[in-house]
Amino acid sequence: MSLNVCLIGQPNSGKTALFNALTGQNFKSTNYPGVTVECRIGKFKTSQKEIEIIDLPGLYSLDSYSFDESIARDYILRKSNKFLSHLNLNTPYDLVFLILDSTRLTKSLYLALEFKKLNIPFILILNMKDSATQRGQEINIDAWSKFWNIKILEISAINKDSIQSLLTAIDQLDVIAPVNPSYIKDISQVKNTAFIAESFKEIDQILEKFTISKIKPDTKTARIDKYLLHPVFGTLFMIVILLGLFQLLFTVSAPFQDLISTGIDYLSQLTKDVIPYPLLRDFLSDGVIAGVGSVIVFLPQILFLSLFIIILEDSGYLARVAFLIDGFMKRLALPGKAIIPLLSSHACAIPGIMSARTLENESDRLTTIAIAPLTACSARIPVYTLLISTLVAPSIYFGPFSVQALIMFFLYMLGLSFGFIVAWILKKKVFKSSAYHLLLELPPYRLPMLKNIIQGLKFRSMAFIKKAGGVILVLSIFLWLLIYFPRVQNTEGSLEAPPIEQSYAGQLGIAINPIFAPLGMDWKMSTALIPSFAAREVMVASLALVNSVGMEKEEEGLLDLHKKIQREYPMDTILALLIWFVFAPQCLSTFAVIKRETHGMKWPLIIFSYTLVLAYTMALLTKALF
Amino acid sequence: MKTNLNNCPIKSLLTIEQISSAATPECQRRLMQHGLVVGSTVKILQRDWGLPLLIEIRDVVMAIGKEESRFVEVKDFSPEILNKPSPNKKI
Repeated sequence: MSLNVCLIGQPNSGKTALFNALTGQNFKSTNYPGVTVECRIGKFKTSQKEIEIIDLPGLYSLDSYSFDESIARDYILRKSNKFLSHLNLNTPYDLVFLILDSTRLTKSLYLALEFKKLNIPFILILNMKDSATQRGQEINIDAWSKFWNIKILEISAINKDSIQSLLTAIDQLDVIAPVNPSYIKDISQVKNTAFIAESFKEIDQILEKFTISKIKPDTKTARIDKYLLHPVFGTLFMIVILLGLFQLLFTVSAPFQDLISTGIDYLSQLTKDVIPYPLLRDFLSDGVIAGVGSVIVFLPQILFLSLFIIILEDSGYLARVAFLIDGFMKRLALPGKAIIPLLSSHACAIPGIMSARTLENESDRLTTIAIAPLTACSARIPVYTLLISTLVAPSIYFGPFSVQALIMFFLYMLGLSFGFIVAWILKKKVFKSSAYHLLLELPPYRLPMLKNIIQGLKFRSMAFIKKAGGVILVLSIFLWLLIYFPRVQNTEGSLEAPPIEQSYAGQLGIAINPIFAPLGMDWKMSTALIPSFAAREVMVASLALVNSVGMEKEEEGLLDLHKKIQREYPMDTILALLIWFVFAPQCLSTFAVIKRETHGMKWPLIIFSYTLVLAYTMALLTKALF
Repeated sequence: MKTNLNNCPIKSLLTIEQISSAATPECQRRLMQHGLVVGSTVKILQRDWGLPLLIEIRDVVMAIGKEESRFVEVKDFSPEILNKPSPNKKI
């Protein structure tokens, strides 16, 4: 027997953790509301049933307003929704798994009451049983289950026994017919303020009736919050945490980078020694290994950044950052909640842009999407690191912080600050809207789970390696072809790579150089800039490739690229290039996501144009000032 | 002046009397969906320095914007709190 089930719950109730446990998949689950901004489909089997399960974004109520909540609401109420149609999610469901946080029943049961009153068939799953039990909560589940005439289960989604009990309960379910839309009551007939007030009264009565032992307050979270939400200490802590991140990026990842770099150099040398055919040897060592290797070397930094963001999310601290920064954000007419997509964008803009769906107000969502490209995604790390190392030696410190780390922090803040200015202009002058309602639940602090961290890092590293082996490899090979052709005859009559300025790449670079010359960039830099529009980190590979032709023997190592840049370009040009990358348009995949999220080409074009103009103007100003 | 969440002492326990009709219907519903309904007890945990209000409602700690908090009209200050006001209190 097969069953179509949809997984619904309030934000941060552990839906994704349950989905992963049931289907064996490894989607990201964290400790802040709004993680599931996509709809995921998975399959699993019990001993008697085959289940297809869809994980929908969290929602507080069936009367919700935000974009992500409306997706879940419309799916449940079987209403038409553009996003659902786009994903082809029109299959009728048989049953809902409604998952709620056991430690927050006085509040979260409201959603269950809505389901009950609208005749939606569901199993009520009370997750986080372990935390609730630790805090002394005991409920007579059997009596409550009989009283409501539905199956109610207490589980812990991270516990195998709990999952087994859920599978057994699913097997015991009677045959269920697909939900008929006409069976669901019209929400507008029952939803009004009196209905909401009555529902909460009913919740109190139910819990009074079936609670054997009440839950004790979460004193641990309250004690930590006393300091971390303090207007002064909390804000200082937040700044130290962010500064510490950049310090870690440079100091901790350096030995790992050296190790990878040595490996790549060894591989490159080995290729040159072993392969006798010059064209194949150059293709592999200069095109493939130098191109991809110069980007792979930054994997440790990207992983450390991802590790840091995962810990912030899993611990529950990210929601506190939204609280602390709300006052500042409000001056820009953005809600504090917008900081979550913006912080996520520092790992990669794509999930950041998607998580803007959690913002209720459409103008807030579009504004956040518009400024997300100005946050420094991890693809910029290779470029920043390379260029910063040409400006300052790693041994120079300012107090406890390395100056390289401080410059990196400044670049991140510069992008973010301009993002805020753009946000203010958009909200005040374009949308002319400032209204939003700040109502933000603060999740309890939890120790980040090792499994979650490993999964997150695995996901990020695989995505990066996949990118390195895909788009970066293709672009590196393409660039190598442009650099090594047309072949020219040497004095001995055999064919070899042309002088770089006679190559196709050189000709192209010389042709477009007048555009970038005012920024101090020569035709080599202009050439290297072109593929960075497809993926930023390719800039490093392209610079390595462009400069590898004619490179002196003692400078062949990848880490020596910065010496070459140092020697060839004045400081003002390097600074102009750095500033260019703070503002330059994001990669192609980011614009594809913006198009999908904004349902058209208007916003991708606006964002591409303004970031391009901003990047050019700021780089020009930098060149003029220094 | 009506008493609302934004002008009550810190750490006071309050009972919600009504959600002001000055709030837009959307804002009213959002407040109520988060459990801010007539008869519910709210505790103000923090309110200062331009940060949002930190409240405890139905065992959940929530941040609520100052504007939104003005729509939540309350009564029944807990007397022990009123007699021993917090040094940080601002009314």
